[in-house]
Amino acid sequence: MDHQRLAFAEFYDRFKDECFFTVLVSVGDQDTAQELVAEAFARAWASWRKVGAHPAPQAWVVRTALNVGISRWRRRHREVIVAEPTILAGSTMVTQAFTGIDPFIMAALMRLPGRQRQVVALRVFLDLDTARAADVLGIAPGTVQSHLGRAMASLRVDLKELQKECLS
Amino acid sequence: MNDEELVTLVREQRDKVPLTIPVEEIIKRGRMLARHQRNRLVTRVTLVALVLGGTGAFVSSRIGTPPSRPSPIAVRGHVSPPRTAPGWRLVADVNPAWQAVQAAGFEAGFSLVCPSTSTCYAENLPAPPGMQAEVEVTNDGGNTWKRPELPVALSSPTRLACVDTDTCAILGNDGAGNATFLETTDGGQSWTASPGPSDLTSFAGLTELSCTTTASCVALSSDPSGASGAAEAYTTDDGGDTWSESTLPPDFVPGALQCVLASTCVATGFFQSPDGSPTTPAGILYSTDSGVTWATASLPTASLTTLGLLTTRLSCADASDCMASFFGKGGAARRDVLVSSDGGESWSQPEASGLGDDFISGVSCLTAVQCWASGIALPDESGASGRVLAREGMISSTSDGGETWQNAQLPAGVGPVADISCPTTTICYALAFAPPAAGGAARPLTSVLLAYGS
Repeated sequence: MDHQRLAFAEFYDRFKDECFFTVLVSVGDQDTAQELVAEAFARAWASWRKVGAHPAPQAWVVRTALNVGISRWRRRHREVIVAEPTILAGSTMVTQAFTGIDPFIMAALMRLPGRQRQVVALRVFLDLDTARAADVLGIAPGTVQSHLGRAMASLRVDLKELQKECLS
Repeated sequence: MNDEELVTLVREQRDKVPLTIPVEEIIKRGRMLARHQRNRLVTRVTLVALVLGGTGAFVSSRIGTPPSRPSPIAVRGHVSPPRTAPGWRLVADVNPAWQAVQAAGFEAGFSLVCPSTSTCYAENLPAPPGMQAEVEVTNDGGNTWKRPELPVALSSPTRLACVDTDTCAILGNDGAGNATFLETTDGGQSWTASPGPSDLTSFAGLTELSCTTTASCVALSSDPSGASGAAEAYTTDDGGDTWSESTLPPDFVPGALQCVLASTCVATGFFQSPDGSPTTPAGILYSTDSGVTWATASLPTASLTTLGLLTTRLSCADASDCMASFFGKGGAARRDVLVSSDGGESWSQPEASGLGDDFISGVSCLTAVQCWASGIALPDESGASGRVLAREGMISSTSDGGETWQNAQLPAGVGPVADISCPTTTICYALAFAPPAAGGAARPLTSVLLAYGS
């Protein structure tokens, strides 16, 4: 295994789950997220000389995955890239849609507006700093912080409500 | 719960759904992408060289004025011999009405797939016995067409399965009985051949191929060994390098197939009658695991019948919403239209008022409710011999999920419409033929490309 391939394999092993979960939370569908992330990592390998030198290659992968999703959505303009939060709000649906994940937390995440969900995904799951997350999303750092603040507040409330609903 | 605890709680979910794709698969896919990029570069360089070198009258045709000299076509650094210009031309600016330019002597014109508003592929399917698959490609909305040289003379081909404007695949027989998978990733300029499923040795029952990515495809065959065995599904996740097989429900003969997104596949067809009756119970299968396992869908009535392989069409707008058509029911209404909104698991029968009793040759759905259908307007009653002289084509659209249909006004001189493909809700292309000669006298088929759009 040559140096480039080894470096890519290490990068993939280190960040594949984080990138996948970040995209999963952003797009709301496990199969779609898997396909988008696989496509993005494949593109990363195809351009590894450039991507490997990127200060945050995992951010490049996530941005590419989301862009691929948007491109496909625009091309087909008939697939829903972001799952309708109301559809996924019920814990039963969430359990079916995301095997292995806490249904309450996933339902709470899915209830967030799309942009807030993306900010949470990038900041919490991908561990990007505010500036890098802003760069990925093409928004101002201040907007990232305000989205994150609102998202955390909503999550806190929604988690309590969902747990109450389930217990009742 | 403070922010830190909340972040920890939420972050814990991250490790519960690992991405299980091995890095080797990613690298393989990346190599295909890199090869694709290189091919595109080579193609562009070749085209520029051709233009600058003045070696051909390069893509300069207009409506009704085909190039005086045939254009050479670059295929993997090889320049194919000059050929006659395609016999059909499309208007450059399509209008909100169907328009046509008649074709002359164009053979590859039975199926049509348009992945984008500018790119369409046409194929001579079903290829007559003894003839090989031929593909024509346009990348400029139909103004100019090229016929790439396929690396293998493919007989009994499936319909082209296109992922996007650049990537399409086809599966067929190389003439020696070997299944062969051809794929292009540069818009039809060059094609690579790889072995198809090894146990696919009979192509009589080979039906359609459907691909969802450059790597993932599904193919169905009703009789893979030629011994009337069980129908099989073949799946590949590595661009055709390796194929896995799985068995379809007994006696199912697939006629149309579409896979959408990563996991949803739907196949329409029929179940073979034990008494060999020509009309057989229509059937629909669906898969939720990328074509590996299949289940029989619930149909609204058990009386649906179809005449055979080429009498069912299918179009899925997304992973949930599909429309299927069948032809062959006896009595006054010979066609049936079904719709599904749950990925093919269950189907209902819309009213389909206004659709007539026509043979449906193609269906193209853009949304859950917006679909176009093409076909042949048949007489009310077929002759005593069962032979029907179809003279008129039909294109119809629905915007309410098939409940009501409105026939489009077609230009004069348009006969049976063989296929339709709509890349967007406002732009459609259809492939038609000139009407048969009066009295049914045989004459060469003349293709006509129709365009609709704003």
